[in-house]
Amino acid sequence: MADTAMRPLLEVRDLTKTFVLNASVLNTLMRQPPVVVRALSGVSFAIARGETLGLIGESGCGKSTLGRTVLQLHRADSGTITYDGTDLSALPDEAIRPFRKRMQIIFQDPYASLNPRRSVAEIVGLPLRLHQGLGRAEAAERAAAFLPRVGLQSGHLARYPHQFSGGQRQRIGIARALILHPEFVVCDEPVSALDVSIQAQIIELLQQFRAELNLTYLFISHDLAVVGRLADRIAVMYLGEIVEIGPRNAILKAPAHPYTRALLSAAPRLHRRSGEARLRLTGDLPSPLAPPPGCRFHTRCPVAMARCRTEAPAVTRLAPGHDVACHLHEGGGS
Amino acid sequence: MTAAAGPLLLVEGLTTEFATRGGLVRAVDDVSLRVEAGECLGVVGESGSGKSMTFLSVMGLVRPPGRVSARRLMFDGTDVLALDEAGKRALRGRDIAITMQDALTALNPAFTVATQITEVLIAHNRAASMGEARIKAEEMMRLVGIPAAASRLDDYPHQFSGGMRQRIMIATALACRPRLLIADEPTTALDVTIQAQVLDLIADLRRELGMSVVLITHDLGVVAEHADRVMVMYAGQVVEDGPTATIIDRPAHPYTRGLIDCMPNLETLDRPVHPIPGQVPSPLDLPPHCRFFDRCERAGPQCRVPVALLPLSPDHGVRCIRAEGAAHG
Amino acid sequence: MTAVARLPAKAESPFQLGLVRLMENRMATASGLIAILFVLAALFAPLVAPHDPNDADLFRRLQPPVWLGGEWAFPLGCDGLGRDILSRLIYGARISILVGTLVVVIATIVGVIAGLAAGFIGGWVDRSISWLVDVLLGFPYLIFAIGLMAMMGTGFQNIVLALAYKEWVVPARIVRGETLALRELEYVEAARALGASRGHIMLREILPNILSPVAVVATVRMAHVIILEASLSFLGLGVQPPTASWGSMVADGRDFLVDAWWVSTFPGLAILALVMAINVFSQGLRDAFDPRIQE
Repeated sequence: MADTAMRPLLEVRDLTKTFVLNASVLNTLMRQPPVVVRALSGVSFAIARGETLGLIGESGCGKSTLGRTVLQLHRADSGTITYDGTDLSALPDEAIRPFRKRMQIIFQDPYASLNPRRSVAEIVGLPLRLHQGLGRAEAAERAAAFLPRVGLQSGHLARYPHQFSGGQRQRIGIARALILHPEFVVCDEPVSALDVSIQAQIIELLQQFRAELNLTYLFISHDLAVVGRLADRIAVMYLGEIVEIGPRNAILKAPAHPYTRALLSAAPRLHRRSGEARLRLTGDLPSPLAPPPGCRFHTRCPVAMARCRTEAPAVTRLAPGHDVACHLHEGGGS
Repeated sequence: MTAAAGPLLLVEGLTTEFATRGGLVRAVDDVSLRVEAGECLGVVGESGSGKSMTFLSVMGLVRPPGRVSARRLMFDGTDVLALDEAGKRALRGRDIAITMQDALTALNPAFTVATQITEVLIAHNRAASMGEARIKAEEMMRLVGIPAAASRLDDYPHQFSGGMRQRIMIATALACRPRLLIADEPTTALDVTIQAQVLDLIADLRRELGMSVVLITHDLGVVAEHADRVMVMYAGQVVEDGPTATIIDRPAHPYTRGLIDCMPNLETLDRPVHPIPGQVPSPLDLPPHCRFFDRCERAGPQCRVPVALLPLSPDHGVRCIRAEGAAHG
Repeated sequence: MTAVARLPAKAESPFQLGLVRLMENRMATASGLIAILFVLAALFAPLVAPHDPNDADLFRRLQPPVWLGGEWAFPLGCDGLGRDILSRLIYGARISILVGTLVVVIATIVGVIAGLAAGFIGGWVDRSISWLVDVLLGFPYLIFAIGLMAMMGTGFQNIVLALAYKEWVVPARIVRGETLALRELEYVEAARALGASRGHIMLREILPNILSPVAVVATVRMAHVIILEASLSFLGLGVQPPTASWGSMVADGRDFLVDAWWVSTFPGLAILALVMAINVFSQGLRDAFDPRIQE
């Protein structure tokens, strides 16, 4: 069996990432322990070449941190990120640079993600100048040729970001990410900031490129319906942990974790089947500064038991490729 | 209160214009609407559709250089246009309240939540003393589901989470028991599970207090679950209005249909995405004919005329000359 | 593809847009013109000034302005040594404007470098720079400058140094704050994700976006520095006599405030006019270039 065919393009194991909040001279001198946020604790998953993994969760759950850590925009505290056989977390910055043209990111905010002082030619041409050593004019020429593929016109080259609408800006961001034909793209809430009719345009564009360039996506969103459109598999995050991961239809049709069920139930629908029970969570997301002990979801879980308050659930395999971390399912899997 | 037989809020021919560097922008163009007592009206549209501006205009909250005009603006039988500034101010906050999308900027960071709620009560003579106002404020905070309300009265807005801040803003808006609550994107900034909580809260309060609600949102799903009637806006105009079930199941305007088709929908995940092509026309460069013309798949040469909002049935209006059954003449 | 854009015909950079907005602001352009007039007068002082500023003549001692019975040759009157006040004002402008410009230019260059380094590199670099900034901010400006002048001695060069020693703190703090905010923005992350070097990110992605607040602050501070220089000169710690400077001219007239008010008043008015012109202009700059108020 050819090794590369079986090997996942990306494999993440036991990823942990903390952020230190208050490092100042005074605090160091006073020997005060810094406040630490644990954004990721022990996250593991793999993505096969050509596959799309949807990553869903609410604000503060660590999903954006995960995407950025995978790309080495943040360095992990511990754990491994194996990309096409190489552990990126072990590499120094210089050695990661060649990987940058193979993995890219598309951002959420079409306003913050484009430098207001750079023209479209400079923004879309930058990857070519950095990685292919092209000059300004050559890069602009290639950028002009790429713009029609994201639905813009070559004539837009000299314009500045403020002259475009949100949807058009997102197309510029997509052009920047894809002009080098990468293999792997982190899409960090790429449609959340857009109007519904524009959302659909961008989703369609991402689908087209996936087919044309055989892209592998890590697609991050808070919207299950958006994730459902693109993902082959879905991972659900809560407070820095993956609580459930599995094939798309298993997650959407037969969710096992109470949090996944609550997310599904909370999504507004055009047609709700009459009599369908609504699962409503009470309370707020706990602060990531002080996550609850035991199962992190127990403070909001409608079916929490005594042991959920003290004991963190282990990962249980429900079906091939469908894992859940919940006491309800422990020992119940196959 | 007058027991008016007519609607609680009646607006006719509302127009809001701004003079900008690039020319005159008509953000709201001849909008007419009504909200019945106890009803929830959903207002749907994308950014730039004028949906928020319509209700800021109704509230009299548009600042110069904005100019608002209307043929009729009646609240519970009172002609609002004839009221003086003091009369309008009394109406705002007491009878009509508005909650903004971003609770963090809408609440004043310098004052405790108790101060902000009691201030409204005292300004509108809904509490005789500071002590009474505080008791009422605590009651409101409990009503909107803030845990340990009594102990949190003297906290500042930044000490609450996003969902809790939204609740506090609703508490502030509801403090005077308004008869109409205008909720402008009340949940857009919130997570899905919190969004569901806040929307349920508004629905419960509507039932308990018997108030009317205008729910402004870009999310058709929210409207489908909560509104009795829907008004769809596009480029400053109402393009369709009618009962929620009719609008969702039998949309007559191509834009409404397009919105429904392109909405991310858990029930139809594997159908190909069907986006509405193009984008909203610039408010500085509106076509003289049907404003959806450039993006409409059904558009034909006969659409190159100004189109009026005409009734398709007594309670269903649509601004499209190709909609079947619309009376045109 | 479907998204055919309808866009303005011309590509306008944020800088061009700001310039257009600045030109449309009449107060700001008028103030800018006044400030430029001062600069021109200072530059061409030998051509503009009717007399040698140091030409003393005790026969003209405290001669009043022309409308109070003076003569046209000395329109604003003469000081206690009989020197022409108008000529001294014109030459004094050289000191004020030169000190203001030099101090602000030095402070801005040092401050931008320090602020960028602190904000972008972080860690101990940030901690040491921020500590130095905090310490310097703890001293009252004028007393700090007086102390330095006392140590280094008076003179043009020393005034500039004494003021620049502390002045860089202001742009440094602003640049550090802006850099910290911009560093987190997605377009900076995008450049990192593309493998751009630190130098590229600092100079090409961050620096251009902090230049407008820096320019605004520089103009505001220029007005401030002009006042400080005048204060030092007033105290006798500035440029030494007989060189004319507005601060020392005000000081010269102290003894004749009742009999010959013009000796102190005209330099005072000159300070006021120049400082106000610069302040109004900087307000216009901020309105025109602040990215937060761009549509």
